[in-house]
Amino acid sequence: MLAMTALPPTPATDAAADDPDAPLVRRAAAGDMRAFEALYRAHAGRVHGAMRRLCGGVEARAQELTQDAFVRAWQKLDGFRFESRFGTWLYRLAVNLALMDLRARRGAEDQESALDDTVLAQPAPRTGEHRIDLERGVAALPPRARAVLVLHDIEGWTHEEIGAELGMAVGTSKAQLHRARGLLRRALGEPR
Amino acid sequence: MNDFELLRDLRALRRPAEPAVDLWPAIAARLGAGAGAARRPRRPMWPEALAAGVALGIGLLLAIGGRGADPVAPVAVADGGLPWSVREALLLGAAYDGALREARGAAPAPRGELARAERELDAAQHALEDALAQQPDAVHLLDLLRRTHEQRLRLAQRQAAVG
Repeated sequence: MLAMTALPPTPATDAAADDPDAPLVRRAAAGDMRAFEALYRAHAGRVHGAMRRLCGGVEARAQELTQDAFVRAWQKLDGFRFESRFGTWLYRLAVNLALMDLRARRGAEDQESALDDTVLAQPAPRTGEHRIDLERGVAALPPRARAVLVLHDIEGWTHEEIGAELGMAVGTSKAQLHRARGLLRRALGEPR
Repeated sequence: MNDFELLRDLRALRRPAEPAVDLWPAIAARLGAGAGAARRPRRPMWPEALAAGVALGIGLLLAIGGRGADPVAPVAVADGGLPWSVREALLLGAAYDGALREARGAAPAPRGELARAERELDAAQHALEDALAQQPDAVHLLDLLRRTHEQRLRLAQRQAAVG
């Protein structure tokens, strides 16, 4: 009976039980770099994919951010309490780093915003393959508009989450998304 | 293509993408350089007075009022193997220094409350940079540093506006 009336496990315990990475995370947190390498191998693709999309396909910058994300994750593993899956935590940490990078470069974006939109969307010539054209169109968006579109339409974030991370009002996030979609449609050759 | 089709196609872009090169050797090298110290529990080294200094400076500015544009341009800074956060702090500082020079122009030196606010913000900025150099993993300091730079810029713009 005692067991039946015991307190339920904490959410952290639940997440750890469900997380296939939990054993590796615990070993890595204890300083095992081989375990951390295994985590890198498992999650590098997801992290790097997000970094590439946020960086507009600039592979070198995406690689820097991916590296930074794993280094930061290693440094913060002590504080990881399995309140979410490790992969989710790592992904969020990486995206936050990319957004901090974007915010640090905000001045350039502010200057870009003053330009005519026709100058902003200059993707590579269309290939005829829709997916590639779409990726190129997203990559050619202005950084802040691209970040909002990537986070909302591709990564599935809400405007509230985007506003909080990018330091902008929800209405601004919605306006940026509207603008980004318009530019993207034009890059794909659609009429306004 | 309607909105639904566009959204569907965009969602399909959410796929993993392996880096063009294996990043693990570079990551391992960075971890090896500071792995032991990086995860050792440490007491915060920056004084609580630092946060109070920032708050005071920002509070003074809020009292003075004024809000301007943010014409900060990105500036390339060689990293030279610096920790990421310190590199970001350098980038921030270089970018805002240029914007500050432009905002100040030929405006006279600030006096009174504006001068006091400038001193507070200047001290807060240097204290934050020192703290970040001591603890590069305290990345939340970057946000405080950015806010401090922004307040300094607004102060300069305010001073230029009032002449």
